[in-house]
This record gives sequence, C-alpha cells and structure tokens, in this order.
Amino acid sequence: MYESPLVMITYVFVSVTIAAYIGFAIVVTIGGVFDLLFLFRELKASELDEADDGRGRDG
Amino acid sequence: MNVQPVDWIILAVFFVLLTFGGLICRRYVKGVADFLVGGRKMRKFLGLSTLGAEGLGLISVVVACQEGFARGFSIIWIWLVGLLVTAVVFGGFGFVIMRFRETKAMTLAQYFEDRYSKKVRVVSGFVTALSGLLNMAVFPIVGGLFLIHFMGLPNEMTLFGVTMRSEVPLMTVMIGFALLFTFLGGMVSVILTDFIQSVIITIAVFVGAIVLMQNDGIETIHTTLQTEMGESGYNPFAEKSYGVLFFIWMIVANVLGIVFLPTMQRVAATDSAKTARHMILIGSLFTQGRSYLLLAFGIVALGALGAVPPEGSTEEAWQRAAPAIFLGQSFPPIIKGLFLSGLIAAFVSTVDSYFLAWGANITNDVICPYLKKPLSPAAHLKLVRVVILGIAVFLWLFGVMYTPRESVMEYLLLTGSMFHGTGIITIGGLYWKRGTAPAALVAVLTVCAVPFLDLLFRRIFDGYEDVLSPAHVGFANVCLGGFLYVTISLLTPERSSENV
Repeated sequence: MYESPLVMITYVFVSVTIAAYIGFAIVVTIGGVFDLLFLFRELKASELDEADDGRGRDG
Repeated sequence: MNVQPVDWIILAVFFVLLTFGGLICRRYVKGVADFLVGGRKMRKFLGLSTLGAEGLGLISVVVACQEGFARGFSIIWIWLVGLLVTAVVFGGFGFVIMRFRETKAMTLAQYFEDRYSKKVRVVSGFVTALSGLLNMAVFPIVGGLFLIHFMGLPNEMTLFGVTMRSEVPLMTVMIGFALLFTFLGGMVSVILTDFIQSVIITIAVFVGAIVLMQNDGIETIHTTLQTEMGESGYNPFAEKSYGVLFFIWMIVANVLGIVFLPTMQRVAATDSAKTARHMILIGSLFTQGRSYLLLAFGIVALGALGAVPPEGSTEEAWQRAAPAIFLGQSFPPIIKGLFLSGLIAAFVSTVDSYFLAWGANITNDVICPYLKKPLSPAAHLKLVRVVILGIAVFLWLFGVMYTPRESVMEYLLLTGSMFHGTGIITIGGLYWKRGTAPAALVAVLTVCAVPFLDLLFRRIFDGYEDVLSPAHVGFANVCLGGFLYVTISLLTPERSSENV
C-alpha cells in the first residue's frame, strides 16, 4: 500500500481540475454559439479581396 | 457487436447534422483568406472551443486511456508543469505569439523567408509537412482499431465479396468525412465542425464518466492504483513510471511545440493578437480536466480487465485495446451511440484541421515559392485542395500498410519532435539578432533527421529500445539543435532582422 500525501493531493487536484473544466465547457459552449453567429454574419457581409492570400493583417 | 440500432441512429443523425453544417459553410467561402483562416473573424470563445477540439482527437483519447491504463495518474504532474509553462510563458506574457502575430505572417515558413531566406522557408516548410504527415499518419489506423474494439467488431469483414481488416472500411469512411468537410468550407468548415465536435465529445465524456462512476466510483480507481501500480500510479519519477529525463523533455517539447502548425494557424485565424493570447492562456488552463477523465477511464479499465494481455496479444497492444473493450461493454445503448459519435467527431475535427494546416503549408511554403507567376485565387484554392487530396490518399495508404508495434505515444512524440528545429529557429529568430540562415537550415535538418533515423532503427535493430529511450533521443536532439543554431550563427555573421 502506497501511503503518501501525494495520493490525496492527486485526487483533490484531479477533482478540482475536472470541476473547473465543467464550468469552462458550459461558458465556452454558450459563448461559442454567439461567436459562431458573429462569424457567419461577418463572412456574409465581407467583400472578396483577391489580394488577400491569408496572411495576418493586424497585430 | 456492442452497438445497438439506436446507437446507429444517433451516429447517422450526427453525421447528417455535420454534413448539413459543412454545406452551409460552403456559401461563406469567397477567397483564399476565408478558406485558410476563416476571414480572421474568429473570436475568443469560438477560438477556445476549436483549440480544445483540435487538441482532442481520437488519437488523444486512445493515448490518454492507454496512459491511464499503464501508469495511472502519474502523468498529470508532467502535464501540470507543461500547462503552467504554456499558460504563463505563452498565455501570460504572449511569448512568441505576440511577436509572431506582429510579423503579419500566416505560416511560420512565411516568417522564415522574411527573417532568414527563401531556402529556409522551403526547407522548414518541407520538414514541418514531413513531421506533420508522419505524425498524423497513425491517426486512422490507431483510431480505427480503437473503434473496432469499442464497437466489438470482428477483426476481419467481407464487403462486396472482398475480405479485409475491419479497420480499412472504417478508416476510409472517417478520412472521407474529414476530406469532405475540409473541401466544403476550409477553415470556416473546420471551425464549425470543431465547435460541434467540442460540444458532442464534452457531453459524451461527462455522461460516460457519470455512468462509470455509478458502477466504479473513486474507490475502485484508488484500489486499482494501489494494487496494480503503487507509487508509480501517482509519482512520475517513481520506478516504472516516466522518469526525470522524460519530464524535462516534455517541458522543452511544450515550449517548442508552440509553433505546431495547426495551433499557429488558429492563432492567425483570430481577430487580434490579444484574442490569440487569451485563447492560449484560458485554453491551456481549463482543458486539462477532460484528459484526466480519460485517464480515469483507462484506470477503471485496468481494474476490470487486468494488466496481463490475453494470449496472442502484446502488452502494448493490450494497453491500447483494453480501455476500448471496457468502455464498449460498460456503456448502455444511447450513451454508447453518443460516445461513438464523439469519438468519430474527435477524429474528423482533428484530421480536417490538420488537412488544412498541412495542405496550406505544402502549397504556400513548398510549391508556391517555385512558381514563376503568382496563382489566381481560384487556382490557389484548387492547388490547396489537390494537395489535401494527396495527403488523404497518403493517410489511407499508410493506414493500410502500417502495423503499430511501438508505443503510440512514443511514435507521436518522436515524429512530433521532428519539427522542433522550427521551434528553435522561431524563438531564435524572434528574440536573437545574431541567428543566421545557414544556422537555421542546419538546425532544422538535424532536428528532423535524428528522430526519423531513431524510428527506423527501432524497427530494424532488436534491443535498440533497451539502450536508447525516446526521451534520451528527443532531449539530446533538442540540445543538439540549439547548440548547432547558436554555434553556426556565431560563426556565420549575417544581416540583422527587422523582426527582432
């Protein structure tokens, strides 16, 4: 039997990280829907720029 | 077979939804910039979602479950330090990311031409593509084998009178879907499929975890780790665990891995450098929990099926197969269909973004620099699509001919380390004025050649792996690359860069 504080620390750390991920996933999913709608709206409104080969434009 | 009709229906609905999404995306792609970087309109939450989806492919599920099965939770400490390095260095300070965005280059190789020379651009573009292609080449075969075990399919099946390994038709369908979505809408399609995949896989993993925890709670995980592994299930430095050298190599790889092409393409697709920095910071902090759940799946599988491989199987193959067999047998119908959809979505969303990244890389950085006239937008897009088709054919052929023998993680780490030379010359180029083109060329080629030869030697020479572990080779290779870059730069003075 391996007895060490590392065992308890591992379980606490894993549990906290998983809980944080659950909250993160909910926020990102809801925010992602709005960002997706924004993306489609912007792409629809944008004009074709033939000179733009995909390089970054602004910092 | 484990899969029930209701699971097939869930899978079919999911694919109809995904295909419909891909068709919608097609309407929004007008030019090369829309196809390659989604018109640079991706905001923070969507960026986080797609970054998380790109980071969790079917291959990552296989590797995480396998690592949990073989070494328990001990890898979390290596991931934690890697996470802190990523979050603080890249996310907090914007190291590399901010300066890279300010160079206005879409790909690293474009930056290399501005900073070093055209030859460095082409060579690094080729090396990055070679590394990326060899790295992703195992995705279909390893992922296909995992799905076969999960679904409980026989090893061979007969289709249209032809008997073949079951993973072949599975691979064909999965590669075909990834290809379809990439062709339909490029980066816009990748963003949408990544988002849908991110939602599906998250729900699938959570629901799967709840189901498993009802049957096998934390007590089962603890008992399994204590009886099967002891200290090595928690401590990465314990005997039979990863070791110090592996730990150091992973930290270095994490730093150099920031220049991983699909990640950099997402950085380029964001609406600003600030969004890119936040995306890396928040993403690296919060997505670890998902991997820990997958590790737990592997540990529970170990408790249920045991570490001893059945007759005719190797230890390595059993570590990969057992979690899939266990999950396939443990999940009830509907959950199984959801999880299966999540797994296939994980494959598609990672592979379609890799198709785009390597397709753009080969087109823009290896082929276009040698064309006499710049291509029209239509011809440019056509060429990218032809290259992507070639990559898909390569993936399929590799999957049909290749039989996994080495550890999947070791294979991924070694092929992934082939492009670490580009990490060295990126950091050197952005932050050190003395870095020269000859030094960059030597560093990139050396760092690419060493892991490639190492992989060949592992297949040719018996007992080679007992002498040199991947950690030995990977770490020594990075040190060698850095040493060559600095030494040759000092010996070959050249013009300083405007980007420093």
